Amino acid sequence: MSTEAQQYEGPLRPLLIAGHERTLERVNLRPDDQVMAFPYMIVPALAVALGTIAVMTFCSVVANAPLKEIANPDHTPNPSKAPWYFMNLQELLLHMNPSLSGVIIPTNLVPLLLMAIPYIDRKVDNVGHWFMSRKGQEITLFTTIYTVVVGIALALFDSYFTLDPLRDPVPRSGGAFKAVLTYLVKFEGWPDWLTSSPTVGGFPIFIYNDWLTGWVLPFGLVMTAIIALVLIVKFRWKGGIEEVMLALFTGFAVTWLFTTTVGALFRGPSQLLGWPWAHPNGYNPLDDLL
Amino acid sequence: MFPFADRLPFKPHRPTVPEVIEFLTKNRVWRSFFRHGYPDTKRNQALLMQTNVFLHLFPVKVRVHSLKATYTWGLGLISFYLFLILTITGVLLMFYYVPAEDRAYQNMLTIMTSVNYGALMRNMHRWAAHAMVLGVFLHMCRVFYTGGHKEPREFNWAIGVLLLFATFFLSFTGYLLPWDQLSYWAVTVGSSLGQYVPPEEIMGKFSILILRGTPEVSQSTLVRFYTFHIVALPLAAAVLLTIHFWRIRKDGGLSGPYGKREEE
Repeated sequence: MSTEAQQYEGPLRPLLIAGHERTLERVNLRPDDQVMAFPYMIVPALAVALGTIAVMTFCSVVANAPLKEIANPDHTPNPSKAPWYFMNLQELLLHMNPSLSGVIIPTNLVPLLLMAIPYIDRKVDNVGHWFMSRKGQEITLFTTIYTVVVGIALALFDSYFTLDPLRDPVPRSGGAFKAVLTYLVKFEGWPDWLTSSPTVGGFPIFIYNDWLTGWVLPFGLVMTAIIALVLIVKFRWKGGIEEVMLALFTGFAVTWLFTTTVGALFRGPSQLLGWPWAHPNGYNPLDDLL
Repeated sequence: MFPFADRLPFKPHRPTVPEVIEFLTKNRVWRSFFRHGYPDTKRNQALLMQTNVFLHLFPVKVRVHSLKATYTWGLGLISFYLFLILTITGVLLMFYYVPAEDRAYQNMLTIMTSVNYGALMRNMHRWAAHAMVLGVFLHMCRVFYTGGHKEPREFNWAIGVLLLFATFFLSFTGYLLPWDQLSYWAVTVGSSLGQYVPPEEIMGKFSILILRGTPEVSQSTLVRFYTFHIVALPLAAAVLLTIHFWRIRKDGGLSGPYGKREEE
């Protein structure tokens, strides 16, 4: 620690010392397992550069980048799809209120939670080992399968579940809660405030009429799946904060890949679910992919 | 070997390789570029890293473990190289591309059909962009699953998350530029999310106008996306990348199994 910091006697001293000592301990270098960066790092790095250039050149020679007909604001293609890395977002939009799934989750929740991970999980015992440990490998594998199974179940539920097979077409582009509750309110006499904001003295309590079907129920369902995952890791593997974070990040990464795949390949015209090779109107999802 | 050698006023001499090297390097011009000798000694190898502003971002010595290909898979490095490829091909494409509603698509056709190596440059720009999104995502997963985000590297992890989003937005802003049906409607779908910024009544229209310049995707949108794509976002990414690399060195090199577990 620098002398300046040692001499500092202000109110932040405990914080300063704790942070600094821990950093020094972790950064502590041992000379015996080190080699010179040149050439041992620089030469392989240059080889990787050549390899990257070679692969990119090869791809660019064998495949042309797509260029469709000129933009036409009067002709909306069906389906209109975002770039592939935003199709996870587009998929999420089908299942929740768009403010939640299109703005709050991707631009606030995801980056903030990602950045928060190392501040929440402060255990460094297993750094440098893939998936931390044997236990970590099991948890990662389990979470991957769990997330895909839950993802398939949720997507199918939202597209196919109905109480009203006569009036409610299935598959639909998401929104089982909305379809079911709208049916119950309309034909079974359930209270109005389930599908519109409850009012007190004529004033609505919530901004959103779909407070239940677009916010509480879908988000609650996803949160239930997440909490169930945490509990499984806690009890099945006696996992600590490390293992829980491993499971949560795996859940996030697999969800990202899963929803991207579903949105990119399994959504056809009108965003209806279907097999990639059997979409109606001869729609080929690969045309919109890259 | 030397015709007319006997007529020359001096005795011709074929220089050896070491002599050529000495001639090239032992002079004031060369010495003003490089202040160290050939990097075959530890001292010169260290000086090579220290006296070059770019290499100076990296440490002089690295741990053997961090050089294992199966530890990093070179994903961060590959992502960075893709960024460089995108910068170079992007600059070349800018020579032929005008961000105007009525000209952009024609420019694309010209690049693909008439410009020398135009198709190669555009293909490379496109494929490298897709590869970079994937590469950065995989790099994030690699770092997480080896614990590289943990103390003392939390801050660098946060910078990395920002770089992931910078990559998304770089790719997304570039997506509009060809001005074909694919790009127009993909950006219409993507930017329409702006209308849901809560509270929607106040922020919705405002966000759309910020993103597009007009209520619909139009000439204003094209200029906005172009400017973000070629100046603002690459600059931001370059600054973040510099910090990202620098912090690797400052945080004690790449992560590795140097903690308590090994010492026990």
